[in-house]
Amino acid sequence: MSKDSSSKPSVQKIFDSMDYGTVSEGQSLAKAWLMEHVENFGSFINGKLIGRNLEKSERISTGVNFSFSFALNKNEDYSTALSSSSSVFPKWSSLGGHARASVLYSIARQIQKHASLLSEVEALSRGVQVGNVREFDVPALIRTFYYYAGWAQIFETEFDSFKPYGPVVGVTSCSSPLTSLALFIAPALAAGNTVTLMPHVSNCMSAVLLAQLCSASGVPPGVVNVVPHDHSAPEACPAFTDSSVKKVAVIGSPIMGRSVLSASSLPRENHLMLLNRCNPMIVLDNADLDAAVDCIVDAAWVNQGQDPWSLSLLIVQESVYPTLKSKLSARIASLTVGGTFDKMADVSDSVVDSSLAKRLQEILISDPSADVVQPSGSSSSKWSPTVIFSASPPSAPVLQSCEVCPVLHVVAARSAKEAVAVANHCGGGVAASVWTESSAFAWESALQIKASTIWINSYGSLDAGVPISGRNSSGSGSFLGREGLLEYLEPVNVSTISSLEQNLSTSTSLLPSAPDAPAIDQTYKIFYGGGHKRPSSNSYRSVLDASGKVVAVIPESNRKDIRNAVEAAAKAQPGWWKRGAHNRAQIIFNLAEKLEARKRHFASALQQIYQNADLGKCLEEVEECVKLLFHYAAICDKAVQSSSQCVGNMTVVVLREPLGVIAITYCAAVGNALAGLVALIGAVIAHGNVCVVTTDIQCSSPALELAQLLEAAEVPAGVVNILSGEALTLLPTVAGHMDVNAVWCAGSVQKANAVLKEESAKSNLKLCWVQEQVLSPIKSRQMYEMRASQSKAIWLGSLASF
Amino acid sequence: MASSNPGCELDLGWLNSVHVNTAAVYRRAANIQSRKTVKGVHQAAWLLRAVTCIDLTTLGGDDTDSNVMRLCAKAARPISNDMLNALGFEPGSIQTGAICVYPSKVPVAYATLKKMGMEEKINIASVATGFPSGQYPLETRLAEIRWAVEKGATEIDIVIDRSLVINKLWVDLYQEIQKMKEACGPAHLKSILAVGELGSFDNVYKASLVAMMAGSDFIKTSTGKETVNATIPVGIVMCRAIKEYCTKVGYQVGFKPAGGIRTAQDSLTWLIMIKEELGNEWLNNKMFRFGASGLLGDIERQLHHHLTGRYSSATQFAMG
Repeated sequence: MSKDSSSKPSVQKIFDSMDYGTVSEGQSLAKAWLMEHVENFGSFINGKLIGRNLEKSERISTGVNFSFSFALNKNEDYSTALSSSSSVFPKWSSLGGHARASVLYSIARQIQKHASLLSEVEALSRGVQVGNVREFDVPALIRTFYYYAGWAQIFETEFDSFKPYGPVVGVTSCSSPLTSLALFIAPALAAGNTVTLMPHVSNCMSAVLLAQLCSASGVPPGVVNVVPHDHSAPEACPAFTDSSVKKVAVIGSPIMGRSVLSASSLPRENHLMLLNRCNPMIVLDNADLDAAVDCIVDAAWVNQGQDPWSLSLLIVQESVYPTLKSKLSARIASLTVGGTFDKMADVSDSVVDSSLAKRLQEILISDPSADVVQPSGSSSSKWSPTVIFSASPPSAPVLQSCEVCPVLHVVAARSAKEAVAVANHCGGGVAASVWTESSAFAWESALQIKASTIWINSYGSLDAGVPISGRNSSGSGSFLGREGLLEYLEPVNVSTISSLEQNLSTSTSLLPSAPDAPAIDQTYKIFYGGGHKRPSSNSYRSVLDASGKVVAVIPESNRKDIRNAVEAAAKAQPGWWKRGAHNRAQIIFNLAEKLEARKRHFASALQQIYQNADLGKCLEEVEECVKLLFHYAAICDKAVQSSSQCVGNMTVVVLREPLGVIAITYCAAVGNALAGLVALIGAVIAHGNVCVVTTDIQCSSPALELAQLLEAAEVPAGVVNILSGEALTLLPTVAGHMDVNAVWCAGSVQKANAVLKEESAKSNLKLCWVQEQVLSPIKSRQMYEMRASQSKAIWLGSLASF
Repeated sequence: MASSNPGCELDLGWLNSVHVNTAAVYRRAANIQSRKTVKGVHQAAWLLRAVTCIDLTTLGGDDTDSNVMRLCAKAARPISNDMLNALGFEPGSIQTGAICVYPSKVPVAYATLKKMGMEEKINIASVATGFPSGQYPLETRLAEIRWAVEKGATEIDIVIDRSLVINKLWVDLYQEIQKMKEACGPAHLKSILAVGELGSFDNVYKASLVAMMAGSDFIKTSTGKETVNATIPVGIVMCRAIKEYCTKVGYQVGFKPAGGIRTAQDSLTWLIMIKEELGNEWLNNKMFRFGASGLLGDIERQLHHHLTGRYSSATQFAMG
């Protein structure tokens, strides 16, 4: 810190005015670092900064109007980076846990040693206040590398049945904070992957510096590359279609996230995303309002509100709304807005994303009657922290994704219940906060809010050991924690459920030429909402065996049936979860018991649709199903449901929650018409989810038989819904439905992936899981658990409650 | 002396709506300290301001006339004239806000200040009401106030009966403080809450409100004799009560942290906290005081360092 010598008022004058004076933060380290590279800046590949081709460079302006020459990377940079990344991968991944741990530990140490440099470079690059970086980002970065160095150390014993994916790519936006780099680089390296970072070109300096620090810590050349990108045309960027890339992580802008998703040739499930969306805070009438106001300022404007978890909607209980409004308005009006290196400023107005000021003005102009509060002296040409007190939240983008509204909206709600409902309608999912001194209200709200992170009476705490993730439109996949590491690992030697030698009939017919009429007509119906329904198409297809004999007549569902079934499922889900693990276990045991009793009936149903199968083998499959149901009943109350830890002054409880509605698409090609299905349905319902199953016509009869057992076993209406039809034809409807939270497909991997990529990129970012064969839920229990549930971290202040 | 807090009716509904989140108050305290600072010439000016806000205190069992007289002399001339001159101030232009003594030392303090012609410039604060515990009959506690005022005290630092707070006997507390206010007559009433013995921040906030409703002109953190003294977090809680009282009742009550404030940096931290929570209107000795004895010495050293660039010795300044 240095004294500002430009103006020197007298002691007497200051004695009278009691002004703070200006205090500037140092930036000499960043300037010195830049002097070494400023005319030669480009991609960081193979351990070296490549600034070749200076004729083709362009001037890049950073957040503080500092500009530098940037060697434009052409496609060759991507191929050089990715080929170095894949050629070093075998070496890096086989290095062994301890060796990787040593390297990660060194990185943490290097960052500690160069914390000031890193803070200054990040501030210079993004225009954010250097104090924010020093206080939040750099400690988070250091903590994350330490944490994952630990996982690398115990890798061999903890993850003996997993291996790293290979080269991975990480993309961040022009306003993404430094923390976001740590979110994927540390776990990816710990797991043995190699990383290519693609930060936005105007915010790439700290990424390059971080890569240099990695290099200096003994990371082999090629393991961490940086190829800045301008995100203007992801579809033209070869990195997203390069076959060597196995996983893509995206943090930041939702528009960028979705365009990367459309451009990428990887399966949907190989994308990890955490996108900026609306994050709500609820202030109830028994909250400490003064403390809430303090917290709001940091929650909304640390890092200029560009963290994926930054606050953008404040919901205040009506009885304290006027008081909170006057307290908050007074605080906002008195905020000091200043430059990046101005220590005394509360918020910096140098933003790297120039569209921010424009979007802010658009919002203000669109509603001239809005009750707006800004710091005194805010100019309309610049971005500044802005609060809008309004009757309702900003209308969330429904038809298309758009950037987060760069203002804090404040609305009133009559009760805690209504506040939670407003929060759940705001389209977020990353984080939320609740302010109340009542632990009962705090806990209840935390459980009801749909977000992965809930802060009670606080905001913005993160820890490398606590997972954070987006839900629905705010992302998919986990960051940080053990879960965050598993995202970069795939199982080795997976075993699928024991498979019979079987051939499913492949032919169906609308009206077979020589129907072999049974004594009494057997009419299957589709099953949803607890009832057996005629398909709305009013159409049936016959399944024929090799000799052309009709073995079953199956209803054919259409998109309306899907709609009805999803509706029934969504309605049933909260009740199913609230029943508790013991009750779910009882019901699943009961289902097993009923299946056991009708073993022979199911075996003969299987025998009818399998060609050349003997009854004994079919009986074995049914017995396998009974065993699987027992497995699921057993794990209902054994799966990890919560864990807690102390982080700094906070206690964090991490729960596993159900995803909600999971759609299962079961293709005939998988076989195991009953066992495969039971393996998937069981996983869904054991973890408190509900499912909408679509099965191919050819393999539907055992599923529809199963539907009849569900009632007898007292599975509540809507928990399991079974529709027969052309599973892949129905998949777009399923994948595009906004009330479906996840899609599991078995069979037809390529076609399914193509549909999911197309549909889920446009709808909510639902979790997808496509398997060629159904994995054994007994041997891959952890995998099923991760896929069938999601984490929710609840942060409670614990220091000094009295 | 300026105006006096008229107080207001005891409002139990207001008291019941008080919620203080302790962890959040601690975070606020940490943030204020790490994010705000005053440097250079600003620091020198702020330190001088701090000097004017000191209630220069001696509250020892071994207090005698001689050390009280020395205290008065130091209060009249806390910063040496040559340093004041170098800082651009008139010689003798800076005094501490008050001196603070036990009741029996009020007469000698009054006599000393009068002799120096300083009785108008420096307030005489006397502790009273069974200081520091308050565990005495109300009758004698009130008598102490009357005696001290009669002998020349212009400010009375009373201690509240902590048991009334602990048992939430707000009506009793309110009435006791009202009686004390009455006993003060023209002197200002400064209520010591002894925050370290109140059990929770909720209680600190509520006791602050009751003290203000009953007419306290200042609320003060501690006697300096409890195990927990003035800390920034507890200061934040009391300042928020003051601000809320000002919003609702319209009267600005003063604030005095006491106990444990020893360094120049401590005093800056308190002033910054006051500026952030209450604003500039509270940054003067009508609205803000430090209860301190050793603080002044460290401020002198820091000012000396500011002026000379050299570190000073503790023994080079006149003793208080």
